[in-house]
This record gives sequence, C-alpha cells and structure tokens, in this order.
Amino acid sequence: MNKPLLQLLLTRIVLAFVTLFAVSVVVFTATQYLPGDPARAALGAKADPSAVEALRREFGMDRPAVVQYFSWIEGALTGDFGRSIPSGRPVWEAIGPRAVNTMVLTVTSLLLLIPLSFVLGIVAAIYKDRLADHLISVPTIVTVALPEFVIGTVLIVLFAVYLRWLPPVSLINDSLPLSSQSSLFILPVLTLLGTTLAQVVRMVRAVALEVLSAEYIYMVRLRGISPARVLIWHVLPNTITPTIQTIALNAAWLAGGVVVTESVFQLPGIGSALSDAVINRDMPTVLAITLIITATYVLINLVSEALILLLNPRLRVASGKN
Amino acid sequence: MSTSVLRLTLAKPAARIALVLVLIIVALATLGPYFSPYAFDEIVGAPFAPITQEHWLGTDFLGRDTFSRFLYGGRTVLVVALSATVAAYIVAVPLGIYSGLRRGPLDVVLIAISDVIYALPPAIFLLVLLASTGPSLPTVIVGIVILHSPRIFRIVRLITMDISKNEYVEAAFARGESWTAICFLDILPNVLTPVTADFGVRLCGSIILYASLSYLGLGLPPPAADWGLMISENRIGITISPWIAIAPALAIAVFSVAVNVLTDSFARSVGRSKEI
Repeated sequence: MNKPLLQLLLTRIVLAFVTLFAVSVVVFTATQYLPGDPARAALGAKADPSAVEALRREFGMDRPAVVQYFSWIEGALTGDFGRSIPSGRPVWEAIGPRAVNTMVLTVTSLLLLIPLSFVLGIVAAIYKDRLADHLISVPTIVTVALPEFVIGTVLIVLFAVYLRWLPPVSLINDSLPLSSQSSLFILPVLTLLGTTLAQVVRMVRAVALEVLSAEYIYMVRLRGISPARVLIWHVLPNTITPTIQTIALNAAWLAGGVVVTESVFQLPGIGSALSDAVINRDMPTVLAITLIITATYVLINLVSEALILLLNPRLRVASGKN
Repeated sequence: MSTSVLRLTLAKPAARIALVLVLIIVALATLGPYFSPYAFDEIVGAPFAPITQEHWLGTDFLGRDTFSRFLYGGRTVLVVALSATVAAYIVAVPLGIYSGLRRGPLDVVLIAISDVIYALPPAIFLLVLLASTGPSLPTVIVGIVILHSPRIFRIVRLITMDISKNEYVEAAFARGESWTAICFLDILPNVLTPVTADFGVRLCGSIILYASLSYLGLGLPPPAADWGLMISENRIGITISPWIAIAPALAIAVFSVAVNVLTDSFARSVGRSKEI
C-alpha cells in the first residue's frame, strides 16, 4: 500500500477512536449530571435516604465522576460492564446471549440488503419510467417514511393474524440452537429490510441511470458486447463506489433500528434490552449497550470510508506517479 | 412562498393527494377530540370487544372505546414533531449564519459538538437522554432539537460561507453596514430556500422518532391516548381485534408518507432533489 493512502486511512482510524472516546465521555456525563438520581430511581421516590446512600456506595456512585468514568471504561474494555442496578447481576451476563441474537438479526438483514438493493436498483434504472420501475420505485417512496413499528405491525397483522404462517412474537429459546428457530427471525429481518432497502434502492437507481447514460457504456455497446456482459462487467462495478456511503448509513441505522424492531417482536436482543433498561432506569445496562451500539456505528462508518478510499482509482493513479 | 413555487409543487397529482391527506390527518389530530363519542379514559365495556354500532373500532385492552382513543391519539405526535422541528431551525439557523460569517473559536466548538452528535445513532441518543432524565415530553422535544440542529447548522454554515464570498456582501461590509443588517438583508434570504426545502425531511424524521418513542412507552404516559402507545399497549389483543393496531398504524403511516411526498415535491420545485 502506498504512503498517502496509508496516512489517510490512519487519520480516519485515529479520528474514529477520538469520536468514540468523546461519545463515551458525553454519554457517561449525561447519566451523571442530568437531574434524576439512578439510585433513587431504582429504589423508588419514597425510599429511605440511608438505603439510597447504601446503594450508591455499593455501586461506587459516591466516588468522584472522573474516577468512576475511568474505572467504568477500564472494565468495559475487558468486557466487564459492571452490575445491573435492579437485579445486581453482571450486565454482560444478561446482555451477552442477547447480543448473539442481535448479531444474527442485523447481519442477516445486511447480507440480504446489499444484493437485493443492487438487483432492484439496476432493474428500475434499466426499465426507467416503465412498469418494472414503478413497481420498484413507488413502494420505496412509501417505506422510506415508515417507522419500524408500523412496518412490523403490518407484517404481524398480515402474516400472523390473517395468513397464520408465522408467529406474532419472536420469543427465542436460549437452550435451543438458533438454527432450529430461524423462522422466528423472518418477520424482524423483513422489518429491518423494509426500513433500509428503500433508500439504498433509490441511490443505486440514481447512480445506475447516470452510468447507463455515460459515453463509455455507449462505446462498449457499439463494440457489440452482449447486454448481460455490459451490465455485469461495466454497469455494476461503477455503481458500487457511490453507493457504499448509503449502504453504510443504512447499516448504521440498523444498529439503532434494532431497538424498536426487537421490541415489536419481543425478540430478546440488546435493542429490546436497552428499551427495558431505559424504562427501569438501569444505568449500567444503558451505558453498556449504548457503548456497544455506538462502537458498531462508528466502526461501520470507518469501514465505509476506508472502502471508498481503497476503491477510488484516482488515489491509485496518484500513488503510481509517486 | 411565491405562487409559482406553489403551482410547481402541486403540479403532480401525487403531491395534490399528499396535501389532502396531510390536511385530513392534521384535522383529525386537532379536531378529533371534539367529535369523540366517549372520553379517552372512559371504560365502556369488556376488553377487546368486537366492532359494533356504538364502538366503531371495538374496545381496547381495558375496555375503552378504541375510536375515541384514536381521535385523541394524534395530537401529541403532531405537536411534538412540529414544535421540535421548528425549534431546531430557530436554534440552528442563527448559529449557522454566525458561524459561517464570523468563524472563530465558537465555530470550532460548534463543529466539534455536531461531530459528536453525528456519531450517535439518533434513537440511541434519545433513549440515553430519557434514561437519565426520566421520560417527559419537554425532554423528548429538546432531544429531537439536539438531533436536528447539527444537520441544519452545517448546511446553513456552508451556504453562509459561500454567500459571504460574493461581491455584494463585501460591498455591504465596505459601505459600513451593520452585521445585523447584512445577516437579515443579504444572508438570510439566500439561506431560506435550501433550508425550507429540507424542512419536510426533518418533520418526517421527527414524526418517526416521536411515534417510535411513544410505541416504546416513552412518550405521553398512560392512560393518555397516543397513536404509537395504542399499538404497543394492545399488542396482546392484535390477533383478536387487529383494527386496534391497524387504525393508529395507518394514521402514522399516512401522515409521514404524505409529508414526505409533499415536501419531496416542494424540494424539487425549488431546485433541490436531495438532502445534503
């Protein structure tokens, strides 16, 4: 790898860590200084002041905030996120198995999102303003503006209430292998696809339209190369780079979208754990899940920036001259 | 807004249909409570009773009239989404103009803050905020304002920087005109069009965010009627009477899709097809 490219990549990596550090400080500070004492919230408004004080001591909340921050971040880096306030159990013990479910849900959605959006986007571009385009473009205008819980509710009504093909809730059993419960993931995956597919398809369609009208495609066609070859070897590769950012944006949206989606289907993941923790004001759990989701979000953005840099042929030419 | 922009915006039938739908939802949300046959918290029968002449949408999990609750349930999402979006512009437009014209240390600080907010997934940010302060509508509005502001700020700042390079702005400075006069007479009119073009996208975002929070039980607390909450609190009865969930889901869907289609058309008519 050449020098300027390496330097750019390293800068991006350092920036990602700085952002993550800043976010962790902001989130931690927010839970410290904003009104509302987590210990009091956990015990209830009428709790005995001495009991509140004892709980604060037990969880180390009586130490200075800076000390608390560093001991928290030190633990977090080694997978120790402290203990959940209402139950007293280690946070990781509760969210670890759930993280696996969330991983399966998001990775499956992403693996379906990418090929589907390229196929639909390019088909819509080839048949611009014809029936196939309308059949693809009109639903995307609708789903792009829908919240996850609306799509999820519609899917439940359709597939669980009227057709009775799938269960209305995705209560995953920890003691059974996930592969035997794959049908429980169908509706949640469809929900996440519904909210993300629209934007990526629209982007692919717009880029593909531009590529299709480019002169080099016209020249390739004049050379008598078959339409299928033109699509696979010339159109598709040129739509990838401009679309990466949109895909990354939606992948990052998936990281947040799991909160509502998992709650809709009562799927035990870290997203539904976060909304439960917010309602119970279980701060250690909120902090842990926020850190995990934000880290994923920052990482996805970093990977997409790196890919755009690596796939940009102009940077390769510049390095050839050096 | 000039009449030609209005005509262009409503040129397509889809935009005209969207306008009618937006007006219907706004009327439903604001006037609905005056036409409701029962009070939103009045228990009128058995839970999940079927649709009858007295109860057009049946009853909910506590035996309250679903149709009455549906008529009450749109107010909050309308008020929260609209006020949060407008407030975000009131906060971010002056800051963006100031930052773009003056630059300096405040500019650096504001850019750094917006970078941190960008790095947080929106839904996660709101959840952390509500976890630490406890759920309340003012906090939700403040949270949505904080989420929208950096995005508006960035656009306004860039446009201001661009405009301030123009000769007529330099001439105004040379004539010794005051900063306030330059901001209002030279910068603001140029900023307004691109900024209003994005208003609908953000309004749609606010609707989705608030409705989702309400669904998660972090909006208006029970026994209040709120479209998002109505869907989640009745979810155990969805197989018995699906209309309890379909009606509010449809209302939210129509509202946000129609706002999206209408403002997309508006953005095109002022020459902007995409969000920056």
